[in-house]
Amino acid sequence: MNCDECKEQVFELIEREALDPEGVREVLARCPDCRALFDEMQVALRSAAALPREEPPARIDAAILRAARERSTKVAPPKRRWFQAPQWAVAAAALLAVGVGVWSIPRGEEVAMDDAVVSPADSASNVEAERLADEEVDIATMPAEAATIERPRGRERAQRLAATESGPAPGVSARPTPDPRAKRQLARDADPLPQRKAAATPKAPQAITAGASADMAAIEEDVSENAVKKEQKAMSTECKKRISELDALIEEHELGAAALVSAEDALALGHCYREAGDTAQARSWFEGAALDSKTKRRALRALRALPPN
Amino acid sequence: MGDPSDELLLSAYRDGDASAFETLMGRYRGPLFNVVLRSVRDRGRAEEIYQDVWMKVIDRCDDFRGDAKFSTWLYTIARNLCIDHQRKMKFRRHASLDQPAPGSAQTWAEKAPNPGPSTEALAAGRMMKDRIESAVQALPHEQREVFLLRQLQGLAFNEIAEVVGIPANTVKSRMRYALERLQRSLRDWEPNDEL
Repeated sequence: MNCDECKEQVFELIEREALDPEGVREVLARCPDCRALFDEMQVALRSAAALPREEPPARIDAAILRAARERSTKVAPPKRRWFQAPQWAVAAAALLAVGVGVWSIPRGEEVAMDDAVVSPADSASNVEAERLADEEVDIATMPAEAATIERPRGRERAQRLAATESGPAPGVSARPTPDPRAKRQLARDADPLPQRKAAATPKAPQAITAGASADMAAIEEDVSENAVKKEQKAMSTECKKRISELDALIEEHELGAAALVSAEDALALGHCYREAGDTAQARSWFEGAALDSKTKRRALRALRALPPN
Repeated sequence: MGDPSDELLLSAYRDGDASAFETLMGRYRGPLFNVVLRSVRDRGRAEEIYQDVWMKVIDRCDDFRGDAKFSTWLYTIARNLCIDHQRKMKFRRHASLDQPAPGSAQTWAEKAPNPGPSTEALAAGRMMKDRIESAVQALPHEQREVFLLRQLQGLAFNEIAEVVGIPANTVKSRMRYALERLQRSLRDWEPNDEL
């Protein structure tokens, strides 16, 4: 390598990109001029590193960051809603639901044993699980139309249960109230005679949660030919009396009436409706009675004895 | 685990993570501002261009291709804005600092008085920095931009080549000429001259 070639690569040597670093070093070792150039180049680079640095104004940085945040707010995906759970969570929940459903299907003496050892605190959830299991079985045996109508009723009932459990009046046993909504669509479709509504069976108090006025209207309108027929069935004097008392209670307390019905009365009303042939109403009252530890076992037995809706 | 790459941060920002942009900006704000400042030689203009560069990054981040480095992309935007600025200045018939002043062999940059120390108490190091500043300002534009990208941002020669749009060997040549020129400027200077 000659001096010209060396001078060409002095800078590359400093930057560690020389094609022939050993050749450059050999020339630098024997040529004072090349060595001087190399030293000066290094000084220049070191000096350049000392070039004063200035800071951009903070106000401009702030404005840039503000713009960046505005843009990211626009493009950021909306927060996940509860019904947009990740797929793994949905799958896990589905598996759990199936597992609970299978586990909670009543199996003879197993249920009795459960009843015997269950604590009052657990009673509500256990009963609901059993009831849901019953409902699953019932749905399986139902006609398709009835099944599609009955499905949402289960959810509504569960919601009412949750609401009742969260805030019952002191001294009043909280329980779900019978819900005629399941038959509402059937009634609308099947009942060509609105005038029959006046002669409707006295209904149990409706949901004590939200939508009070709507539910009251639903109670008043909830009439079907089946209901009318069932009303015409023979009913014991005691049942007639109980239902009259219930009517009076509803008239006085409207939707709050359900909370004033004792567990024993709820059980009795369930039996009355079963005798009258109104299985849905009977089931609702039994389910309410099953939430009370004193009447739970009897209510569950009655529920199991009910024919499918 | 090392720090996330610039490209990863930009991708996170594209997905709505504003803090990723903040991190990215923290990495480049200083060098970028200094490169722009020494390119346009006017603090007010430099601030405008600096802000415009980042605004373009924000607006165009969806267009960023993963096959390029973020630094290359960022400095390409900055360089284009600086060129636009210089064109506007030419249109306004502003004298270029790189051109010799009328009736003189010296450029405006070379003729400009150094801010220099106002008292003898200033250290020689400070004077040296001022001198380097002046020497860098006096570099021809094409040498200066290569020098600044290399010295202030530490871009690799091939990255500078991509930003400037010239072969990497040409980048190296320009860098070498810039250093030789700086070295000559600094060799001629003696600290006592300033005192």
